[in-house]
Amino acid sequence: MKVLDPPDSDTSSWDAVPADAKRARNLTRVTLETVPSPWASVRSPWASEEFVRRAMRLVPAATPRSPVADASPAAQLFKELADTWGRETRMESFVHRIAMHPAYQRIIGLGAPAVGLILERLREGPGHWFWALHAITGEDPAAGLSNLSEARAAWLQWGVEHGYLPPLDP
Amino acid sequence: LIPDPPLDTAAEQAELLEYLPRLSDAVYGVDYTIESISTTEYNCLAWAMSDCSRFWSGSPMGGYFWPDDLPIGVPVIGVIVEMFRRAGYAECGDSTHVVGAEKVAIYADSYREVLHVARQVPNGRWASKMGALADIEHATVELIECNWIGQVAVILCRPLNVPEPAVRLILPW
Repeated sequence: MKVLDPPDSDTSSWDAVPADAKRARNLTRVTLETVPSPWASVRSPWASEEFVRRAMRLVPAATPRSPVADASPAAQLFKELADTWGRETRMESFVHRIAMHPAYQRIIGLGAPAVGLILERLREGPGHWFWALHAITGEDPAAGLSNLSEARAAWLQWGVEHGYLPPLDP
Repeated sequence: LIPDPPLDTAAEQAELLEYLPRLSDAVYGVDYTIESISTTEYNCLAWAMSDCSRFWSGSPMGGYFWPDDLPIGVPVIGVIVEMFRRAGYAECGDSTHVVGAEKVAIYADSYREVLHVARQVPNGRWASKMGALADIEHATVELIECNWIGQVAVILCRPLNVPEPAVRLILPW
């Protein structure tokens, strides 16, 4: 497995932030790991240079969530995609159609940096986020559950246990 | 539990009209009522099965309900018909109201992928859960046909005395 370094422009933006500020603002650096893809020959809009640049920018650490997270490029991109997805799947009745929406697939493509953002969105209200969470993390804390409310609670608890969310209210 | 917000009929109607052009087309009668708030807790298939506590959809991960022995891929007409056959339904001719019988209408696209299911209620009208939007009752099966819903592909019916499937019935309002 090869670890890619961010492009020079992004490296300089990371280096420009003083170490104290990084700690104070709970920032962490994101690098992308790549594996040989069976789709390497397929032209994909979310594999574009622009997408990789955006995904590689500084994003706050997933825990705890802070106002910085809302302003990060990754958070803004996520919000755009999630809003589009929610708006354009309002009339869909089956989860495979909901999850196959291009914006939802792009959210999955954001990978690990999106997990905290998805869980935060899920904490704000119900939604069909389990497919994306499962696809990104490989986990399924809702396995065996057949009720969306119970599955949502299981994923939120998972988010707390893995440091993506602050402890839930008692 | 956080209580559901009160039903805002005007807001629900405005959103439905964005997707369902026939609801405002006099040619189709404009005869429907809004019966619930918008929710994602259950879907049209669950509603047709009288279950509003679960979301019936094939899925590779937890949170959804689907019979174990049916394929979880694209719900083609054959799969959905089999589901209703197990609940006592059989294919019948049309959507007219027959006293002593209850019917379901399966909507699909031209590739036979099921996009929606509606259930006839005892007064002869049709009950539909519209995606993540509200439940509505509509006078005819044709009233909601559109690109999102598809067109009626199959009508099934069963005698009214067939017991409901063993699922919890929790009304959302």
